[in-house]
Amino acid sequence: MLAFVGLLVGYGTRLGSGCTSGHGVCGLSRRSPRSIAATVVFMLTGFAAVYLLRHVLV
Amino acid sequence: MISFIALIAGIIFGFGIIGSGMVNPALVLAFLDVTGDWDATLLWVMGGAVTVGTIAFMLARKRERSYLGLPMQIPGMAKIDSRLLLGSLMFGIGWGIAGICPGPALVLAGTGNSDALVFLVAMLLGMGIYRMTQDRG
Repeated sequence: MLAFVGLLVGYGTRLGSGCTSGHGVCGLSRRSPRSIAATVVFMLTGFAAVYLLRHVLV
Repeated sequence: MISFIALIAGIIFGFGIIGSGMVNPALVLAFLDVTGDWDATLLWVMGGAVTVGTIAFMLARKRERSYLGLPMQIPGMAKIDSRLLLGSLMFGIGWGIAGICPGPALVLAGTGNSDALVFLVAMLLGMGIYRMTQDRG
């Protein structure tokens, strides 16, 4: 499971050109529209993943 | 000199994400658990980092060369494409499951945490797969 998730994070980071630091901190600091979009998407999917794992699939 | 500055910057960044709790998967997952027992601590961390970053980028924008004499390279791409959105979607799902993102994966693996080592190897493999299949450069 952890290996699969690692793959997802690695591939997703490259495809999306950034992570929490790249888009979330540096991108938002520059007010980059791409980074704002990326941050909104990964925050929402992060919320959704935790919601499913903690409150639906328990 | 450049390597030395990079080392210092890396050490500051490393201490920052350790001290702020960003490397703690339990805290990250509690931050993402908005419908449950939400812990907003990391929102302050993000806010603090973005405040510092905003000032730093304002100063950087005024310069043509960095303090080390290299050309300033600030990303200028503005197009929001499907690659950006799909990549961020995948990243967010993985982040929400493991509570680990790339920076903290390096720090945690550095502590010898076996879960983090598995995650890091898989993450690097994921980046490698991207490089082999998608990279246009």
